[in-house]
Amino acid sequence: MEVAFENRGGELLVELIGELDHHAAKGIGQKIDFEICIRRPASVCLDFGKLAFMDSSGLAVIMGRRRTCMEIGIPICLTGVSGSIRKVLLMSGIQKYIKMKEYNYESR
Amino acid sequence: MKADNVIRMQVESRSCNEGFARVAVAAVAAQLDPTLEEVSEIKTAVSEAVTNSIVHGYGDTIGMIYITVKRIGRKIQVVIRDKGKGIEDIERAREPLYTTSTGGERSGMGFTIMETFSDRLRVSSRPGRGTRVTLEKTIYGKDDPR
Repeated sequence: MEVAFENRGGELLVELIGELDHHAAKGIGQKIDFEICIRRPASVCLDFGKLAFMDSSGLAVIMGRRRTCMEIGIPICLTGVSGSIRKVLLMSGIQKYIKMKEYNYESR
Repeated sequence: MKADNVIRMQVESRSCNEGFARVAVAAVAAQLDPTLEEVSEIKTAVSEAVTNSIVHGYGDTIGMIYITVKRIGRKIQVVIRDKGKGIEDIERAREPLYTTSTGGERSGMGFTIMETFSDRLRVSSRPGRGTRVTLEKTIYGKDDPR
């Protein structure tokens, strides 16, 4: 899988592209943390719109990034969540800990 | 009941093989003209089972994972079997958010996802001998009027 980073007026948009399974999850967390550390954004948003597949391995990636953001005191949210990925997220109760935003299509 | 189609594969317990198992089940499901949701649900359930064999069954060692995908009418049956260390307490393992993993890498949601995304889930295991997970899901397909 791939990750693309984009600065959106202070917010770091992290686009997850492809399939996020246990294999892909291995290096992804560190890669995102590294970008957060060097870019110092005001907030982070993980975008699932281009993710074709995600299993429970994605949950650990999300919770890990939430921890990173909490440590440096910035908010984090999720966007572009749909289909079975949405079901996996809701099943885990992750929405209690991290905000899920609808797509803001005008800004895309 | 006699299967209409059977695929048997065995893969080494390397994480790069997780995708193969998903492709195999998707290929069999595709014969039933499934909805996008049905395909991703069964793929997710299979991915969880195979990941469990890799992470928990074999851990730091490499062993074989045996995957059988059967189509019986509109039903897909997937058996994922390993000869790894097995599960001591299956009931506990099936509880949401329970995990024996300590690195924060696993969420403990694997069995909950398998259960939710299939119609039937059977788990049998013998400590020291291995684990067998059987998933069944009926594919109603795009023409289903429900």
